Amino acid sequence: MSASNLPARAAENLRAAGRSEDTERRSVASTAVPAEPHAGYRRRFWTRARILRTALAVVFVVVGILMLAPVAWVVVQSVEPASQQFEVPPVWFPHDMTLQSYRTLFTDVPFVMNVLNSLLVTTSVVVGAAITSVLAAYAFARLEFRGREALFVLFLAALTLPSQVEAVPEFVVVKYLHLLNTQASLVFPALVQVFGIFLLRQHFRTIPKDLEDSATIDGAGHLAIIRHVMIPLSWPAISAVMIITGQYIWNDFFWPNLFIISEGRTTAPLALYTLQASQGGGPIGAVFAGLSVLCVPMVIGFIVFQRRLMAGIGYRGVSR
Amino acid sequence: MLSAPTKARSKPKRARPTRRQPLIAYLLLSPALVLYIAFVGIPVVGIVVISFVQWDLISPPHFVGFANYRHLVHDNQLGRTLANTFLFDIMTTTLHVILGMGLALGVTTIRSRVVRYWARTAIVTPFLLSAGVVALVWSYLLADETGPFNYYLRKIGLQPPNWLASGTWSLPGLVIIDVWATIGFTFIIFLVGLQGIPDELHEAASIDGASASSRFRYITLPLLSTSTFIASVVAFIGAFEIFTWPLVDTNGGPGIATQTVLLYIYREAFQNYLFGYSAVVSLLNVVILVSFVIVMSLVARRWVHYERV
Repeated sequence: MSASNLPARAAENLRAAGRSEDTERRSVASTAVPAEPHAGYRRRFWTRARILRTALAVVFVVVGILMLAPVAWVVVQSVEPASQQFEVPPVWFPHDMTLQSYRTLFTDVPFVMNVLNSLLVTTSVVVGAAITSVLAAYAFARLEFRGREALFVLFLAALTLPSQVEAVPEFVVVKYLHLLNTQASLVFPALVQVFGIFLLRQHFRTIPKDLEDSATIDGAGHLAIIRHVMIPLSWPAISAVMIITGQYIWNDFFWPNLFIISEGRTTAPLALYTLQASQGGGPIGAVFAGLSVLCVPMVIGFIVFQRRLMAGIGYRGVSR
Repeated sequence: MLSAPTKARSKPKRARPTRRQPLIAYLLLSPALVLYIAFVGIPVVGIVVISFVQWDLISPPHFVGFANYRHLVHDNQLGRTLANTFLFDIMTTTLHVILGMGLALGVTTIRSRVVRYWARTAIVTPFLLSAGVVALVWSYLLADETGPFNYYLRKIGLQPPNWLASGTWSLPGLVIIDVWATIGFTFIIFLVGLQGIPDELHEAASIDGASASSRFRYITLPLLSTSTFIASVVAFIGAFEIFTWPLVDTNGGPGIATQTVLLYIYREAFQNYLFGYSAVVSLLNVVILVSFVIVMSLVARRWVHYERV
């Protein structure tokens, strides 16, 4: 019984290490052993480690608030009447709420059209790039053909090149294809996502070949294998590619700024920039409303897709 | 039997599917390949070609030899532009590594699931917003009189500058925007790295009496070196390509105090219609970036600890 001092000491050490929840559960269990009622569980509640940990939690609650405060501020500005926008000290809980800014945004400027453009471009790219990536990745992962390694290296080389550096020649290409000032100029160049090809190739290579062999014996061709074996088995990776591509295209600022001139054909972030730049502080409420419209779905979408998005972001970073 | 095509080649019976593969392979590859040639291949070759011509996209281009390259020497904006880009890059990369690692360490140490989830979500969220949206939001936040940022800085007794309008402080102002917007990415890299460190190492060390700081120095830091390397390379490349904040928030100004390389390339081509010279600056940009990545990889060989667990 008296030997229970030793595990208690070890548990204390582990707790100080402050690692996994698993550790915590173990240490709590060993502290709460009823055999030693005099152990002073109550007195030792505020140990140094616990104080530090609580302080850390408080700090991170504040960090979270600070990170989200800019978005919250914009949303608050968007529901305030024009006379109360930009109030100093900043207002966080508005008294008079109005949807006037949203009314201006949806009636006076073609913002609905811009959001639809963004949706159109993003969906086309997400679906199209997923298809081209799956097909190319399958060829690289499973088929034998001359120049396979060389082609793959050629594709990979594109990852090291910052795409915006090619702005000038790509503009020329798009101009000669007569795509300037069309939504197609945002779709076609984005349909080849090298990181997607790379990621899916890696994933396809982990799928056991026996599955394809038996499918081949049953008379399946390559397309059938892709459809019924590869895609279902690597759906998490494919959806990660789709989400990351979608997030990138939806948010892109550089290419729409370069290729699209017409107000009605541009994407939503660009439309807000034009609105802010051209009107010289006119319907600023509409800009706030537009920013909120673009921010809030991203925040909600992130909370829903968090797991997959985090994984995808990691992939994209590593593959760069 | 498809699984062993190389061995199968010797046996005529199995050679058939192998021989048929190239056609289907090229068919499957063709969509990606055609797009790649049109939008990556041709531009890469094109940029070299364009660098030797004088061209405004309207009148036909004419060959000028190395004139565009010679202009690099006489360009009185280029020096400042490169200096701005490097300064911005060094500031953001340093902050990214320090803050990203600190935040990831903090978040993994937190016990409460709720706080951990809240912190992780809040830190990553800004990374998901459009660069254009971020730039617009901060143009209001950093405003001197009406912006909440300076209001709260004054409230805690500081005398903040007029960030985006000051020659000295506009670049650090853009650093603030950049770190807020993209720290989530670095944070995730470190988070993934930290998850790869086995708990047993820390437990064993602390049973042996190692303090928290020495555990950090001798366990966490070496095992995180791969993540640190990836994070610094990605942050460095990302910062070098910076475009949206200077365009929207400062328009490169005041003067050219926040003109970065990419903004300069963009302006030379699409505002001054000097496509040839713009291509030369683009090539310079690629050369600088590639050589930096090579140098970083060489340096990294000395201190990156590749774990073999």
